[in-house]
Amino acid sequence: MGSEGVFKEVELSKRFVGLTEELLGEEIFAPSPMFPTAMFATAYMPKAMGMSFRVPERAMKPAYYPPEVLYDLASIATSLSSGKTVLAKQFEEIKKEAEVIIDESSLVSRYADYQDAIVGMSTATEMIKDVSEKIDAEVDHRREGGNRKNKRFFG
Amino acid sequence: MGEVVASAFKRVFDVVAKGYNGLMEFSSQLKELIENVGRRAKEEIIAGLHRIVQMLSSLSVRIISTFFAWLSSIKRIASDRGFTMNEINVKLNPITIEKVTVLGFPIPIPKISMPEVSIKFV
Repeated sequence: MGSEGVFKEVELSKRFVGLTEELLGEEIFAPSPMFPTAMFATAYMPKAMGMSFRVPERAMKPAYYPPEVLYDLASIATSLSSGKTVLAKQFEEIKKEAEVIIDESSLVSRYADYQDAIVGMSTATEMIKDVSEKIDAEVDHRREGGNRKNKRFFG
Repeated sequence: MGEVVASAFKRVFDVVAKGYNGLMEFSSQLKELIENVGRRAKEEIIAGLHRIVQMLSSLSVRIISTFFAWLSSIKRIASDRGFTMNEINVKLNPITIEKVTVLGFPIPIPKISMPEVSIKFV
C-alpha cells in the first residue's frame, strides 16, 4: 500500500474516533423498569456493546484502524446512531470510503475479533453459572453454620 | 468463601460490563448480601443475577447479529469487487438455556457455542 492509502486510512480513523466520541459522549441508555439505575456510556461501553473489540490505545498517535475494521465498526456505529441523523450519515460516509480501500487479503481478517468476542461471552456465561452455584453453596454453608450454633445454644 | 464469590463476580464484569453502573453496584454489594442473607438480601441477589443474565443474553444476541451482518457485507464486497472469494458458509448452533437453582430460584444461563466458518476461493 502506498503512502496515499495509509494517509487515507489514518484520516478515516481519526474521523471515526471523533464521531464515536460524539456518539458515546451522550447518555445512550435511559433508565427503565428493568435497569432503574441510569447507565451512562463510558470508555468501556464500545467493548461491552460489541461495537469495537480492539480499541487503539489513546497514546497511539495517529489513530489507526485498517479499512475492513473501519467498515465494520462504521456499520455498527450507524445502527447505534438511530435518531441522530447527522451522525448516522457521517458514519455511513466513512463506511463507503473504507469499503473502496479494502483488499481481498484483509477482507475476512476481522473474523478473529468476532471469534474473541463470542468466546468472551461464552466464558462470561460459564463464569456466571459457576458464581451462581458458589452463591448457593455459600448460603447453604452459612445456614448450616447458623443451625449448628442455634442447636448448641438451645441444646 | 464470600470473598471468592465476590471476586469471581468482579471478574465477570471485567470481561463484559465495566460500564454498567447498576450491575457494578450489585457486584460490590454481593459479599455483604451473602453474609447477611435474609429475605431482602435473597431477593436482591436473585434480581441482580437475573439482570446480569439478561444483559449477557442481549449482548450475545447483539454480537451474533452483528457477526451475521458482517458476513453478509463481506460476501457482497467480494462479489462487487470481483474478489476470488466466492462462498462463505457458517454453522452456528442456537443459544441454549441452562437452568441453575440459586436460593431456590431458577436462573436461566445462556450457553453460547462458537460458529464454524468456511470460506471457498475460486
